[in-house]
Amino acid sequence: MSHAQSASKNVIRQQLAWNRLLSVVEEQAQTLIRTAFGTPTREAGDLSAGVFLPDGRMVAQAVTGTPGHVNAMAESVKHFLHAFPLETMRAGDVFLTNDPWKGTGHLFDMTMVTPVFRAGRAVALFAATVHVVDIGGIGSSPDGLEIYHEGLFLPILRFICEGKVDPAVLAIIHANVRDPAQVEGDLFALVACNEVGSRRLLTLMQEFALDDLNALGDYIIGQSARAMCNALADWPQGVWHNTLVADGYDAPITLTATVTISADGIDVDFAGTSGAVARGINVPKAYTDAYTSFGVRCLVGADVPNNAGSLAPIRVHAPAGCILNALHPAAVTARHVVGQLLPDVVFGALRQARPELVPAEGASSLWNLQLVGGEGLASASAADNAALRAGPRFNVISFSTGGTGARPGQDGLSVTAYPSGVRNVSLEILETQAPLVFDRKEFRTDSGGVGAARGGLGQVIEVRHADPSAALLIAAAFDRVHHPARGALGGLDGAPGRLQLASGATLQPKGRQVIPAGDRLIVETPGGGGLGLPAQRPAARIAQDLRHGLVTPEAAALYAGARAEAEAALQPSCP
Amino acid sequence: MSAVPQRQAVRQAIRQQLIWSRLLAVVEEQAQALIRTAFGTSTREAGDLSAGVFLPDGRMIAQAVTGTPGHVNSMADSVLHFLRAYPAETMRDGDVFITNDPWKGTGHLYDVVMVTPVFHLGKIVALFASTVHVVDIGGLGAGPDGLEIYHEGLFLPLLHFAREGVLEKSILAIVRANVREPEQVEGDLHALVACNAVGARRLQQLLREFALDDLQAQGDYIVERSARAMREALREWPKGTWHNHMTVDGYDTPLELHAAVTIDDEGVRVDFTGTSGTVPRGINVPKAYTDAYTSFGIRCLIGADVPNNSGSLAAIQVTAPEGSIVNALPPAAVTARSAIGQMLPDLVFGALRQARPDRVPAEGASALWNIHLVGGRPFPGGPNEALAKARRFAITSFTTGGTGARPGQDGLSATAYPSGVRNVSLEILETQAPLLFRRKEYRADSGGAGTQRGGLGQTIAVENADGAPMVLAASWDRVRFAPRGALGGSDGAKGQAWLEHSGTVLRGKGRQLIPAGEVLIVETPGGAGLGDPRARDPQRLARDLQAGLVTPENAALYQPETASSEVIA
Repeated sequence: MSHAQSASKNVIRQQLAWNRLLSVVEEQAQTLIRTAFGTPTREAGDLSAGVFLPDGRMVAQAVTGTPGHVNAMAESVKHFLHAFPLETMRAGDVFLTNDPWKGTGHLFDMTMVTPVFRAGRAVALFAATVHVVDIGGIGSSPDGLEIYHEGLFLPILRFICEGKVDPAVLAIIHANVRDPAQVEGDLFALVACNEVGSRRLLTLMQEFALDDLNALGDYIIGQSARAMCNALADWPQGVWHNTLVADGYDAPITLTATVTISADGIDVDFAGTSGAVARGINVPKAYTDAYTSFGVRCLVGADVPNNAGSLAPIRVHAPAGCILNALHPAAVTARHVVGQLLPDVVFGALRQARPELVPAEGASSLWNLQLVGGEGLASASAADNAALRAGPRFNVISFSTGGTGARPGQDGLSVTAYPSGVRNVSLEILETQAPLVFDRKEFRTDSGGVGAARGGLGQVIEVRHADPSAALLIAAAFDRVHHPARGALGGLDGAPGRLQLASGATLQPKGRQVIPAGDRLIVETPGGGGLGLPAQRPAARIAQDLRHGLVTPEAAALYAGARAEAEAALQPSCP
Repeated sequence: MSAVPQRQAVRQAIRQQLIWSRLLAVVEEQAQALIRTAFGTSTREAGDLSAGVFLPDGRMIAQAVTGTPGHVNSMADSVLHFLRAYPAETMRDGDVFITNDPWKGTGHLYDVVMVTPVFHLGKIVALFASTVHVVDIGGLGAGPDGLEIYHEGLFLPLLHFAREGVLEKSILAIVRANVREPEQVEGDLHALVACNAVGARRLQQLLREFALDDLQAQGDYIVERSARAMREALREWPKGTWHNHMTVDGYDTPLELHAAVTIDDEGVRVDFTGTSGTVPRGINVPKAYTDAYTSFGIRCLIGADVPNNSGSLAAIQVTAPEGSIVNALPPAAVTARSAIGQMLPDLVFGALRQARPDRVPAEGASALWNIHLVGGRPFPGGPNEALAKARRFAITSFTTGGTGARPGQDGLSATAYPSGVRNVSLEILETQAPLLFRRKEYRADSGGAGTQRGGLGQTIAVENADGAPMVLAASWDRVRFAPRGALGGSDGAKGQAWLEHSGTVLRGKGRQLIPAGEVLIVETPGGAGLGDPRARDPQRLARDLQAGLVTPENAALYQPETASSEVIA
């Protein structure tokens, strides 16, 4: 056999092994979804799963999963290896943390790492993350002032030592969360999914007669890095700036990015961004890295699998103490509200380099309805507090979304979680879990920003307590209420989000608030921004929007008006 | 009976008394070891701790006199919970157990209880238990602002802290990750381990010296003797049932505390039926803490000289409806449970006064007026930039009002009854935090007038030495409802707090901002008077006037209206 033949056989073999590795982590993720107890994992897909080399580099990651988890978890494994060096790990060990700075950005996310041994040697580590339903503290809301308010903090721990669960860790978790059975179920789902991954990996290694994953890992990472370099070659080199103003908790926050494309990759620098605040919307750097690199990779090398090689060319800088590099003990529970805006921030800079490739801004941050019953609220009246405590205890998240920004040549996606990628949880599931009645859930007409490509639509949701004598709480963490998704290239802004009671009062976009007994919460999620001049939208698509009720005749008139104006502008003026 | 067995019995009794005294010295040394090794000021300076030794069946046989009733008497029950979770036969030499479960420990997450089994001749012979109040436990921090226990910090269920001499690393790591002052808290945890080890060593010496295989017989003797002494003390009291009720400030609405006290052949029974329900704020009291302060109140009047142990405590039974504020169930918030719990002796006194009016003091400030100040940490609504720049600190200045007047004696001024903790000296606090105490003095006229005068409260003025804003976490009572005088005595002065420059009056409970440049003024409540003021010995009144404890204007209270001018002259 010739040298070239053998090399090409080797490449094919490595590609095969790579594909198999991707299906291994996908199976790991599916196991997690099928065994987890909490709705965020089971129904919304708020999870991640991946496999790592013994030096901590990620080689494969399940496509199922959210960037905030995946890309933050990519770094997390290095922290585990730092706390528990590889040579101290034993077969049957499982490690755990929810450290926001070493995990995935808030205490609700549990990351579990399992080393895999072959012939007595650690050959890989599986890592997986879920969002648990409760972690104690003040609960899911941005109201905390410091991390200590936000619940139980598990530093990197040996959760299972050579097959034996540390009873103290489990007992402490049980004692500190409001829903111990569900949280414990999720923890063991993490253990199980890593174990399934490990088993499949060992089968693969046996089949391909691999003693370790180092050569394959180097190949995957090298190939991916090369593919990223190729993708980058399609982009001009240069420096572009962008600024996005977000609602913040009680004062607006400025997110400023400088994006530099050079021969050796992309640098994103957030210098100039607002400082951390005394509320739980601060973003640990790991999460900033995650959503920034995700944003970049949506535009540059989107088809390159996610791993240490494809992530390496993207370097993120943020001054320590700014809201995108918040330091301990900052409060971080709702870090997604700010972090999920980062792809939009990056897009605004990259649009200047390649306007034809970049979508407009979207709702971007999730509009999850975190609804709580059976608990009081400090600022509520005595009557409201009595009504709050009248009903049974519950705590559910209805993962909810607005519209994405219009895309080059395509409309934005309505009611779609971009960039987080999680699914909306079906109302029927929620109604079985809590005494809630959803009266309405429908597209929000006219919320998509007008443009040649229209922004995706938000939605209208109406929900109330099933017991008219009981009140409930909304733990709001919403953005795009005062600062809507901006249109681009002549497209108009999407509709801002809105939060009110059926009785008329407008609620604050952030913080715990009462939905009084007998009242109803009305949530209108933001629409995505439009892209391109409205005058350029094809008439057929306007007609279709009208037919589907996505746009009202009044709004359709905006397009007609724009076209008339455009045509008028083109008329030569009479002397 | 022949002379020899009789002499033997006497010798045996002397021996048992000797061992008992030695046992008391052992637990006292345990407590002193804790005080000398603890890191936190509440243990080191204020004596907010407890230490004791227990039989393997969980009965407490000796307790250090140094310590607070809230800790001691609830810790007495705590050991039973440990034994239920970890039966004595499963315990190994070198094991140490830990909890801060408010319902199985001493009533809030700040109190960490550590239990160490002691082995002698290969067999478990006793358990040492001790408790400290750590400086921080995460969560919202000190104060009653939490709505449920989850807001109040790290909850450690009953756990192995060390297994056969090896520390459980994960527990220590979790504790360190969840508290704001990991070094101090870790130091306190090791101080608990150390004090129990000191106690264990001394006990083993004692067993060897007295050639005892175990403590069973000795324990039975102590418990039985103490129970008998309590029965004897009870004989001085009439049988019957007496009722009392007291209104206290509560967090934002007043609360009613009701007690029915029954003395019969069995002992004393206290029933809190009728008491207000729990509230969504951290002033709820777990039953263990209710038991502790109720039995302490009774034992101050009945059998006060009988050492505290299972025998002397067994005569007292406390019942409280589940869900009432004195039997709060999880997940109620409990951080400032002392604000209600420390009122319980006064509540019991009011009932027992009807049985023996000659024996019972008037109401006092009772609940501690600790000044808890926090610097460098955010506050809802700000000014968070200025707060973030300020020096970080969290300090508790253990502070007290006056006690109620006692039969034949005035109340004690600025004294922590019933808690028994000490005021922390200002000099210590000023070295630990950027605080400047401008004033700390008796509050004239705050003691209720009476044949016996109530103890005086105090006036404290404190400011941030850096001119920075800071936050006060208040959990004070007796702001709306004064300590009540008895047998014709007058009420003590209510407590109050305000800001010197703006005149803003502060709430008795909850976190409040002390703006930059402001001075916090705290006036703690005075104890109430006992007996008709006009019957007060004129010499004692003259001395009060001379000492400035009573002003001439107030002295009029002590005189028949027609003769008021004579005293002033």
